[in-house]
Amino acid sequence: MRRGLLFTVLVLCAFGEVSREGYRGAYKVWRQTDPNLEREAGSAGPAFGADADRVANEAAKYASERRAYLSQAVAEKERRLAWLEQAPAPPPPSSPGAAQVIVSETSAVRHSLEVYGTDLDPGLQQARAMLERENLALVSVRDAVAEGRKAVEAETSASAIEEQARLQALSQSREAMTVMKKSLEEASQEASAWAEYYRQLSDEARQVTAAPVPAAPSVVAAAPPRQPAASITPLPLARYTGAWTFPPVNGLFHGPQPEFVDLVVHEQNGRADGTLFGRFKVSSGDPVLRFDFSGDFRNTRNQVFNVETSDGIKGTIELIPGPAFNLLEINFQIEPKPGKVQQGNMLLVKK
Amino acid sequence: MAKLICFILLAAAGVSAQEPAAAPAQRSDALAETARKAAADWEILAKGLEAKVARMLPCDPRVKTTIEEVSRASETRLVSQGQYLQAAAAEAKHDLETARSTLEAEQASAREIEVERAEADQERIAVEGQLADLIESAKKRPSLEDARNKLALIATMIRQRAAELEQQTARRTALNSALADVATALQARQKAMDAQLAAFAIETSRWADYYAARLARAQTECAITGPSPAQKKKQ
Repeated sequence: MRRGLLFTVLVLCAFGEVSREGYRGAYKVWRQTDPNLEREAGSAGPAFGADADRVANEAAKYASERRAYLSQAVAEKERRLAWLEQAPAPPPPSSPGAAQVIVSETSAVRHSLEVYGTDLDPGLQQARAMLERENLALVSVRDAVAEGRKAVEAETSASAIEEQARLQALSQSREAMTVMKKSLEEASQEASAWAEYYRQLSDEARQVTAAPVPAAPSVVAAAPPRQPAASITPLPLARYTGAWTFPPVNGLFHGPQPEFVDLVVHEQNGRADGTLFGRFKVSSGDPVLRFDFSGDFRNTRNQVFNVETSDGIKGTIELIPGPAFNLLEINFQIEPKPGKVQQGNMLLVKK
Repeated sequence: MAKLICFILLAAAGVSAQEPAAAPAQRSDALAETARKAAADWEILAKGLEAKVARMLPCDPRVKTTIEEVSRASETRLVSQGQYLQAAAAEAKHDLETARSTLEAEQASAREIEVERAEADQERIAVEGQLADLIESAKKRPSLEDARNKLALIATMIRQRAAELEQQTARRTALNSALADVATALQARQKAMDAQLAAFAIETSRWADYYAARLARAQTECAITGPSPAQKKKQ
């Protein structure tokens, strides 16, 4: 009962922060955002590019959530199976000397018994009785040592079988880990492919609408109302929104080194909401960080939003447009909590 | 000595009854080394006992102290070995609990694969629908061909994912089977450890009886022969 409860708690802890429901929810939102996008692509109007971007953002959010889930599952499995790497305890200390001591003592006692055995002197008979008691004690010790040796041999044999089974399980676990890590890589490849696909759709639509075709005012009016980027922030909103990632090679950062960081920022009616998920190289504590943030975009270059982690810890994140269109610097600070990453500063690349 | 035997018996019982998953306080390999050293120390003294005592008169007080010294060394090595066995049994128990909980978690995780396969199928169907729509759109606007190719590639990736999940199911079944074997082997080992602790408790008791008998014989030999004049004078 207690083991079952402990197991449940462990599972809840392990998957508490990034759940399957999280990415399933993101998947539904993505699929429901514009189910007719591809059907409308053939006769795309001016709003099509923005529609494709909106779907792209939801796809990126789903990809990020799914990757976070898979990444956590890999880390959890690695942690769970780590004990298989550990060799078993050494064999018990054997003491063949004990048997030798018993043999020599028994020999000495029996010799004395033979010497005293022919003498009828009462004193010597008394000594003989003590020798017999000692001899019996030695026989008992000998038997006990022999039983102990059998038990040691049985344990050694059991250890050998266990070691063989452990090595077999270790081999299987390594294969399973390799497959899981491959799945994680493939999830990233799928995410990139989706991003590229929606970019192609969006670019294609924009090229078409940018062509000298007279725009029908009625069509523009029919498009869903969207905030013009320039009216909210001094730079285009695309400098802040979308899916961003920490480059796996030569990434720039200050503070704890990221292993990976995925950031998704959405904008709706001038309001931002986003999610950051990352894993950092830390010597101790929890390397995983995940938080949501939201707030209004302001007419400033740098945007600051309030952060709240899944644990309820508060903080802020600053989005700083980078030196190139596809670069975004982020700077976050979170209330100190033991074992948690509290701050980070890094340059992300748009996916 | 009785305390020592009680300690070993309680240790044996305690190891069997203690709560699982608590990591052993001390690795048994360090205790094994201590036990080996204590056994070697005792062995040197025990092997030299008879030769040493043979050179003494029956009532020489050094006879008693020499036997007691070997007896104490024996007790020390048995305590050390008992501590080693207790730690090793605790490790075996901990390993067994870890193996069992890992197996439970892996069995649950294997069931998750089914969910992932269903998800991959769901995605595949959705993407095939998107692709069908885009193929129609591309007929009206051929410049969508690149996007269509990319979507076809994504559809292939998702189909591949579904196929790989099939393989993962087989791999996880093999892993779970191997983990079950480890748990069974660890259970057998723990049983063997318990038997070893029980045998060791008996052995400890027998050694105590033997040294008591050895000391009693020495005292009897002294009583029979009586102290030498020189010893009487000393007394």
